[in-house]
Amino acid sequence: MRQDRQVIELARSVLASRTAARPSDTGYLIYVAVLVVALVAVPAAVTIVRGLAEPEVVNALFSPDSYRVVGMITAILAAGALLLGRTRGAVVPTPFLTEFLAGSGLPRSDTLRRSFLTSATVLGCCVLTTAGLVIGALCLGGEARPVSAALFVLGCLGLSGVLAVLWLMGQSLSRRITVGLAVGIGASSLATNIGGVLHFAPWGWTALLWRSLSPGTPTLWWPVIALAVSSLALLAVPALLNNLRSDEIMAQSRRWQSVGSLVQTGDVAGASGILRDPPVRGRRLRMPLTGPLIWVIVQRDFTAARRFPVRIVLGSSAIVGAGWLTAPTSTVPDGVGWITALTGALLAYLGVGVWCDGLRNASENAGPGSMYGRTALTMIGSHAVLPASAAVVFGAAGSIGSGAPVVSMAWWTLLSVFIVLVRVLDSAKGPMPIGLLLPIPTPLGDVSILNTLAWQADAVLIVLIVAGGLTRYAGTAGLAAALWIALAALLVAALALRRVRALGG
Amino acid sequence: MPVLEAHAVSVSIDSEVLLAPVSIVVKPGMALVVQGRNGSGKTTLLRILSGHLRPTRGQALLDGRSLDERSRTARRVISARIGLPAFARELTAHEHLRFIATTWGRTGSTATDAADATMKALGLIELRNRFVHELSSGQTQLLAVATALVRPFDVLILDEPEQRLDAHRLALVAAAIHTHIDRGASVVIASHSADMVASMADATVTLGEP
Repeated sequence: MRQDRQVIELARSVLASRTAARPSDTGYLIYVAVLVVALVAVPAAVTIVRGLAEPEVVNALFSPDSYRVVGMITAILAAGALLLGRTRGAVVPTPFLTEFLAGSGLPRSDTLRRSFLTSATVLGCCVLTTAGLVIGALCLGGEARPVSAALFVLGCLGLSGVLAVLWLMGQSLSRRITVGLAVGIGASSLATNIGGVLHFAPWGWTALLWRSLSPGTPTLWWPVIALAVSSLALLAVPALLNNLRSDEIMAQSRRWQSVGSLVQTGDVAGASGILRDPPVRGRRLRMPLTGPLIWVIVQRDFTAARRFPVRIVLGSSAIVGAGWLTAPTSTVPDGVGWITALTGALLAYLGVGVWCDGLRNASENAGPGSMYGRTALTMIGSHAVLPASAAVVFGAAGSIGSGAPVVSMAWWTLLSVFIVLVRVLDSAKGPMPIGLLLPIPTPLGDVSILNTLAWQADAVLIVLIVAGGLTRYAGTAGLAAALWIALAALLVAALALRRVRALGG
Repeated sequence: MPVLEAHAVSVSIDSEVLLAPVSIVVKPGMALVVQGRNGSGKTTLLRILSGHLRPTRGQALLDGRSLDERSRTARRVISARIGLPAFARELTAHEHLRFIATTWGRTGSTATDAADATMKALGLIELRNRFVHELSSGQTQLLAVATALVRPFDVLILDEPEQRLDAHRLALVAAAIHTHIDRGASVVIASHSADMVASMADATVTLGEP
């Protein structure tokens, strides 16, 4: 074993001699890090903490049943960590290291340990940051006791260890086992109402710690100890690392390296395309393709969608959740209302995306030399029918499920049309104008990256600002919000038309 | 030296056959050349023989034990080059080979010697300080073959090593492989090259259409 470690150190030293950063690089990195922390991270954290410290939000966070919601969210995070492993595992070294270090005769528990520790550290920082922001808000609101707050943060640290192991399990174990475990954990999240269930799992212990934050409740020590002990699951990491298959690690390494390269060059659409796996089932599904063109395209899109059952179920569930979250109500506190409206709009946009494969293909074929014999506008318009139908149907189900008045259906329908139009706008984006890459020198350095980010994220920004913002006011100013979103939809449609024509359609 | 075997291995996905059943035995010091039309399953068979793919039916064995690349023994014994490797753009050709040799326990000057010897055998020595993006496609192919030869192995598996190589380079690759066969290593190569088959094959297997 000692010899193995020496070999790894020697191998890494070969790389280090080539990749070692120069002092000027290190200095620039520190300069950028200090600026980002001072100008972005600290103001953002202060804004979030102040927003969460509003009395309405603090009251919502300390509501009698809030601990059950915390338990449910934590369990969903645990199930999500398991399922994430196959798409983006906890161990994703560069393809080069995967090929020659993980593929060498050295034990993978040694060669891949550094990659896992990096992922686990990032995960731990994310969990602690989230917990710290919420606890900071509660302390600022004068509600949380320091001892309980500290115990909660410590518990979250233990929880992050458990989540890291689950993440690695999702990558290392067979799909059948991980899906089974995820379903089991997901089911347990629904059982938080049953007395005693919270005492038997890390997500339950986190919920109990959250409850002990409330004024007038005793400080609990045992859940922190239980979470710390459960993080000993990290002892299973070497075995899990040794169980990883090199082809699967390499597939993820190559995929995420490509995603990184495409994002760096500004091709986010291409990057998200790489993340969409090709179909492996449903090749013999019947696709009749009969009737008028629009119906033919709906059949084509619907059959194609059935080849991605998991994706479609997840996307449709997201739309149902979006309908539930965006149902207009005038009774929720301001801070919570903004969170639900923005989350709902974003979920709707992401959920509709899984129904848009045909739409994207039509846009890719919009230029000269298209495979299709119809105009790009006809093709794109016809491919928008299925996403719009799915958005209206699934979102309406969520809206009705929320118990909102029937009028909320009308709001959701408008929202669906708007979001699908934004999807059309996004699919017809084409290559990024080269002018956006021109340097913009400022005392903080070249900020042309902001242009690139704005170009790449324009659809999400439009959805968040328009759909999210107007949803927040739909409960109190319904008619005005409806008129504004209809106007915005017309504007987006005009922009989309312009983009389609620019593509050659 | 181990014996590599495949007993009626086949691969299918969702009833689509990628590799029809095939059986082989490769003994130490033997070279087997796999032939067949495009799409007949040559690469799929090589992936099975290197332990990277489990056959849908049948069994692949290394010295009588089920073959799986997750086993350290299998990784130590088998050196497989199927497709181009993921090169590091920041390393030179020589650094690549030295690094690979180091990961296989050849430290210090031993690793440098192994890299030198492999580059010399394949006529790459002049390119030692080039980055990968500075190599031609044929030179890149040679470097890919070199990554498989620079490490210790008992079984060598190569997928169409003749790709993009001229006759001279092809002869160099064949000679380098022969050196390993002579020391007792077994070799499995998928190839469309008549020269490669003629110069190397102790046995051939031709895959039919799946």
